[in-house]
Amino acid sequence: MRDKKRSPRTNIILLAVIAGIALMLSIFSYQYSIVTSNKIAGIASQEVRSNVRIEVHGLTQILGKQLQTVSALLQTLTPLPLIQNNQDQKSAFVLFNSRQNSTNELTNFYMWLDSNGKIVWISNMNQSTYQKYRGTDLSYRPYFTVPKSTHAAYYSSLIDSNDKVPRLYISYPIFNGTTGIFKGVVVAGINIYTLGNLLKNQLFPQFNSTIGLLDRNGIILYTNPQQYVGENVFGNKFQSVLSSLLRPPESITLLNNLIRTSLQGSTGSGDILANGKMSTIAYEPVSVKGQYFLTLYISAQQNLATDVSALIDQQRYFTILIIAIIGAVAIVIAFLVFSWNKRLETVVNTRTVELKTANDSLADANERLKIHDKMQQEFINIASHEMKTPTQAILGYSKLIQRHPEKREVMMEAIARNATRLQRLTNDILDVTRIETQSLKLNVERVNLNELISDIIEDYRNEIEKTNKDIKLLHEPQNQIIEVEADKNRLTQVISNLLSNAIKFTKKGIIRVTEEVKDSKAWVSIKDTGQGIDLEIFPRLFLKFAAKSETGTGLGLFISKSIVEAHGGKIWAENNTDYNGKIGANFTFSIPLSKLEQDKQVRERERDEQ
Amino acid sequence: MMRHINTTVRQILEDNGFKVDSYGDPHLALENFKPQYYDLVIIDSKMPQMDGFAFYKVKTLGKNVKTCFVTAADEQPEHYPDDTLPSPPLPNCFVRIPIENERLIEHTQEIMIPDK
Repeated sequence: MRDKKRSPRTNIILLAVIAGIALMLSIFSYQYSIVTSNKIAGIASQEVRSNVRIEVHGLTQILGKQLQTVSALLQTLTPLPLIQNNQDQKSAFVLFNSRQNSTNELTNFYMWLDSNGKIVWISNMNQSTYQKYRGTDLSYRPYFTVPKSTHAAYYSSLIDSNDKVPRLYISYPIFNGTTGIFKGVVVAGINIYTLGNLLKNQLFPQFNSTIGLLDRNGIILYTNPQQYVGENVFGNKFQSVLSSLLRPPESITLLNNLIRTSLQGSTGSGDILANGKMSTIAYEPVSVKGQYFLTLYISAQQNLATDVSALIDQQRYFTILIIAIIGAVAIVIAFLVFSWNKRLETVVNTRTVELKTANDSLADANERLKIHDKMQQEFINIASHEMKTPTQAILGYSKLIQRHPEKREVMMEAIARNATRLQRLTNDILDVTRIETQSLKLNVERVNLNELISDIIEDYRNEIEKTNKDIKLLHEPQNQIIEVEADKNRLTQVISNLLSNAIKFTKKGIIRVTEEVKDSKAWVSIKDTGQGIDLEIFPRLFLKFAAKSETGTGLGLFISKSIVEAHGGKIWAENNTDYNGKIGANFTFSIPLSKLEQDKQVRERERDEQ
Repeated sequence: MMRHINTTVRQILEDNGFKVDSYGDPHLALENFKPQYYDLVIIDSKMPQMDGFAFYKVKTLGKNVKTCFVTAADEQPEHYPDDTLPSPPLPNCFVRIPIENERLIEHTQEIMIPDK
C-alpha cells in the first residue's frame, strides 16, 4: 500500500501556497480595482466635461440670441422717421419702452442720444427722472463715439455708468437715409449683474457649476465673488488671488493658457487641479451678428468622478479585505484540516498499532494453542506408551506365570515393578489435575532439609547401582541444620523428580546435590554432567508435556514447579559447563526457611554485626 | 525393545514354537542381524537410542524379511511418513499393545503365513 502520510513540511508548503494564492488574488483584485476605478473615473470626468461643454454651449446660444434680439431691436429703431427726424420725442416713449419690456430680462434700458451725444430719451423713465437726465451729455462715451466714427454697431466692454452700475452697451448709429448725415445713436444698456443672474438661473440646479464672463480684452465681466468684476484677468490683483487659491502652481499656468486660448474666440475646455480637486472649465465665445462680443466660462468640479473614485476605493479596500479574510479563513480551515488529519493519522496509527498488537497476541495465542495441541498430542502418545507398556508387561507376565512357575518370583517382581510404574503415572496425572483445579493441598510440617536430602540420596544410590550406570552421586551434608516448613512428601517428590531426571540424562559422570541458606531461603541444587537441557525444550521446560526422552510424560517438572511455588518458592534451570567442558544441567529451587530458622538467621546476623 | 516387553514377547513366541533372537539395544540388534536368516522381525517403534522406523530403514537391506512394529501409540499407519514403512505395506504390520498372548501368536502367524 502506498504511504499517504503527509509530512509537516508538505503541510507548511500547502499553507504557503494557499496564502500565496490569497495574496495574488488580493494584488490582482487591487490592480483590477485600480484599472476599473481609473476607467470609471475617466468616464465620470468625461461625463462632467461633456456636461460642462453642453451647458456652456447652451448658455452661449441663449445669451447670443438674447443679445442678437437686443441688437436687432436697436437696429430696427434707426430707420424710423421719428428717430431720423428727431421729432415727436414723446412718441419715442412707446418705441423704447416696448423694446425694454420685451428684453427686460437682460437690458436695463434703451437710450437715444442725438448727434451731439446728449440724451434724447431713456426707456421706462417717469417724467421727473426724464427731466433730470434729458440733455445729459454722453458724447464722450465709447458707445457714442465708436459707432459715430465707424458707422457700425458697437459692443462695449465693461463700462461704469453714471449711476456706478457696471454695464455692457450695444449701440447703433443713426444716419439719415437720404443724406447720410449722422443723427445720433440708439443704445441698450445691460446690467452686468442682471446678465450674470440671467445666466446663473439657466444653470441646472443640481449641476454644481459657476459662471464667468470675460470680454474680448480679458476684463472680468462677471464672476463669483463679484469683487473682481472689472479686473483684468491677467492683472496682478486677480493673479495674486489665483496663486493663493490654486495649488499646484502649474494649475495657474494651465488656467492662464486656457484663458488666452479662449480670448482668441475659440471654443474649448480644460481640466484644472485646484487644491486636490479636479475642475473642468469649458468656454465658448458669444458673438452678435458675427462679431465676437465676450466669452462665457462655466466651471464644474468633477465631484462625480471624485465620488465614484472614492466609492471604488472603498470597494477596492473592501474586496481586498474580503479576499484577505477568505485567505485567512482558508488558511485557518486548511490548518484545522491538517490538524484534524494529523490527529486522525495519530488515532489511525494508534489503532493500527493496537490492532497489530491484538493481531500479534492472537497469532501468539494461536501459536501457543498449536504448541499446546502438539504437546497434548505428544502427551497422549507418551501417556499411551507409558500406560500401555507396563500394562502389556503385566498382562504378558500374568499369563506366562502359570506356564512357567519356575520363573514365578522374577515375573511377580516384574509385574510389581510395572504396576508401580502405572501407579506413578496415575499419581502424576492426578497431581496435574489437582494443580489445575487449584486443589493441591500441602501437609506442612517442620522438615529438616539435610536429613530429607540424605535419605533421598541414599535411596537413589541404591537405584543407580541397579542401573549399572557409572554415576557418582555426591552430597556433602551441611553442619548447619536447614529447617523448612513444608509438605515432606511433596518436597521429597520434587527432589526425587530432579534426581531421577539427572540420572536419566546422565550416562556417566557426577551428580552433585547441595543445599545452603541464602537470603533467608533454603536453596537446593542438583547439578549433573549429563547431556544438558535440550534447547528446543528449554523455553517450555516447566510447562506440561515438555518431554524429550523416550520415557516420561513431561509432567514431572511441571508438578515440581507447582509444588515449589505452592511453598512460596522458585525453581529454575540452566545448562552449565563446570565439569571439564561437559554441558550438564543444573536445577535449583528455593523455598522459605521455617519461622524459627529465619529468627535464628536474624539473630546470627545481628551477632555477627556486633 | 523394552526389557519386559522383550521378555514377555520372546517367551510367548518361544512357548508357541518360534525360535527367537531378541535384543534390548537396537545397535546390538543391527550388529547381529543376519540377512536371509529371519522370517520375521518385530521392532518396538519407540526404542531408546534409535527410533523403530529408523531401525527398519537400516534393516531393509534384507528385502525378503517380513517386519512388524510393536507400538503403544494411538497413531494410525497413515500418520507415519511413507518412507518409514514397508513398501508395499504389509497387512497387520502393526502390533498394538497391550495385546493378549493368544492374539499375539495369531497376529504373528497371520503375518508369517498370510493364507492361513
